[in-house]
Amino acid sequence: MEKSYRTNNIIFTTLVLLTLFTWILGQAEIVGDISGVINGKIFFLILLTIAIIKVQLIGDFFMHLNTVSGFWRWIITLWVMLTGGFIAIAFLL
Amino acid sequence: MKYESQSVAKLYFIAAIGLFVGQIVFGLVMGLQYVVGDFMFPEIPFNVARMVHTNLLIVWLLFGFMGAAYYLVPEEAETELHSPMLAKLMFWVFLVAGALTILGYLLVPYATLAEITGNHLLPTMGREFLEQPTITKIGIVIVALVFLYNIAFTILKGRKTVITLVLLIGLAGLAIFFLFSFYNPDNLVKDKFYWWFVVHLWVEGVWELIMASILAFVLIKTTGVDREIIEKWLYIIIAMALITGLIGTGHHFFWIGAPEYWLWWGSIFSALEPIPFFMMTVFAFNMVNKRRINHPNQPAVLWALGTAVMAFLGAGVWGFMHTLAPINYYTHGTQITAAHGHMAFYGAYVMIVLAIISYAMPMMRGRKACNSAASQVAEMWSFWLMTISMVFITLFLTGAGILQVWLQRFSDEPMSFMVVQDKIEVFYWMREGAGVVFLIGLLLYVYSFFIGGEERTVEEKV
Amino acid sequence: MYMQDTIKTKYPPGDLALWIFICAELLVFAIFFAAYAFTRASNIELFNQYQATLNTDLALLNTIALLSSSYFVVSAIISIKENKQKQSTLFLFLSIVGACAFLIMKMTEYTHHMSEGINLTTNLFYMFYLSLTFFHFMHVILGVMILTVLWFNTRKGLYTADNHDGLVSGGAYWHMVDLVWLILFPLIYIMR
Repeated sequence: MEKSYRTNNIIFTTLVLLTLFTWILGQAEIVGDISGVINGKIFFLILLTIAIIKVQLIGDFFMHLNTVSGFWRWIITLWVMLTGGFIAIAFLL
Repeated sequence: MKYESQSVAKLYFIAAIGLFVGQIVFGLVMGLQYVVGDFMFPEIPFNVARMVHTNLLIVWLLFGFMGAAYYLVPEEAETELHSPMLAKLMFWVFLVAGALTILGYLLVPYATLAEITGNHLLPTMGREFLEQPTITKIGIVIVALVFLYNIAFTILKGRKTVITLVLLIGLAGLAIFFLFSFYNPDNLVKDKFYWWFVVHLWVEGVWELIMASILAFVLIKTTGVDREIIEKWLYIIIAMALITGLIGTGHHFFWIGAPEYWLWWGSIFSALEPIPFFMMTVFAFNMVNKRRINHPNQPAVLWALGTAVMAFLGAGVWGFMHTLAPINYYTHGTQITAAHGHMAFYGAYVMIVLAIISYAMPMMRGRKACNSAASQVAEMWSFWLMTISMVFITLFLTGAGILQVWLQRFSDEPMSFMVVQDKIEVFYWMREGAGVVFLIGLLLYVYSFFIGGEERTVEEKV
Repeated sequence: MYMQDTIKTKYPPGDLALWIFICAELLVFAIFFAAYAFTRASNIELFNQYQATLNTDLALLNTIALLSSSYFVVSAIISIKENKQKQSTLFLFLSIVGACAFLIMKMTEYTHHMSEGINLTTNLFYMFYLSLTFFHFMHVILGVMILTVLWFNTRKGLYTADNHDGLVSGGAYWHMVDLVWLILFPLIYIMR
């Protein structure tokens, strides 16, 4: 059970750090936008990847889908890949 | 039939079928008027035939819903109906009011009907499907309230089940939303908002709850599947119906002068409205596959499965085809709409009423569980005749609609309405032909009630 | 205990009916997100211009609030697996606090917008921003109601180590609400 609390803490910390990183990237992009030096598409892909990872972490460790086998294991993954995919198509193409 | 008072449903079901026949006769009149413009003019002009056709549909379905409730609630609640006397009284009130209204449509000019029924005191006439004189509408409210009181008190004094609770919510919603028909604002946009609060929230809202609960009841009875499983499905189905259907009302607010965000809200939510119908189909076939008994009433099971499929096709698929704003921009108010409307109403609501009648009538007429083999065969034939002909009606109207949209709305040099109507005439003739087959199916259905013989028995255990 | 953690189940934890409900909600949000992204593609300048008027700092705090709230729900479930009802109740209380913090901060944002006369008809970006966040807001409210019921139940001692399905189910719904925001936050506030 100690293991469970520890895992919970680690996942939570990871999620918060990823969130902070997203915010920082957002600030940097606004600054970079003005000076016109950055590649918006790279920023976008990083932000999207982080978002997908965060969603997957929630699914696996908070919703405990990592204890499930079969179709339902991948339900959140399926959703985030589809949603992320559509967003990517819209932003990049 | 476990409880004496369930028998009041028989009155309602007989009236329902009688009015159904009337509805189809007038439907055929109109179908012919599409191509022979002065058929029955001036005795029964098109607009009068239309009022009769649509109003009869709604009234007979209401008779069907009420009959279904009077039959299944005592059985589910495991107690007699609170007041069979009131149920019978309301039956006659509703039938007479309805008959007088239809006669009013047929025998006097509409403006005269408005005058003699005192419409000026509280104007509610003049809108599609809500053409009834105000006094008829008040009568409907009274009948509905007494009916709800009767059913609610029966449920309260007995066993409460998910089926009866969902049915009651649906029926209460039906009554409440009908009240919007009394509000007739001057502002045209508001007028349309409130009209749709009746029509959409009925057929894409609370009526779905009624349909789902009746379907669940018929499936429990004919398959013997665990009640808990069926209840879970019922919850999910109605949750989806409400989530998608409530904001989905917006798909009627595209072009009436409402703010632009309705194009988005209406499209997104209504696009998902097929989901509860898809679930009902999976639910119905799943239950029948996993059945614990072979029920001897085959037509009942056929109607139950059929209603799920046809509702999904007519309401779900055909509805989806024209629900997105960019498409609806071109198809709004065309024969595409008529195609969807016919199959949706038939699949979802006509068939579920026929399903419960099919299940309940034999027992209310003294049988143990079902009719004779000959009667069942005739009834199943009527199922296929009506259903297949409805599919063709829909296909023909879809063809008409596609050509109409192309010529009248989409092309670089659009043609006028009447010119286009001329060009799609062949579809109308074919539709009428299919309509005749539908009537034959319906008459066979009525005839099947008169086919006697020994009750069909089967080995019940699977 | 240890064995239970390593045996995999065929169905997700909690009520399957609720999971189907969760899937339905996820589907609606997915379509909304896709609609936003594709509409943006045809209105990039408009969207970039008005996205800059949003309060990203507050949104960051909102994300942290929701993440913390979900963290506490998981903690509550771990506690109940050890039959520690009181600790579980406390964690659930903290999760509600986090959720309420989100609601308050969001309402502050909305008040600010309203004072500037911004509404659904102002422009296409604001229409999406307000619709999406409001839709999510309503789900947070429902989530708070569910968490409150769970809190009451846990306080009454309804859940035990062997029987806490309701807690897991309610928790799953809450995580869905959190997870949706994790897409919404970068998509609407940050991605340019």
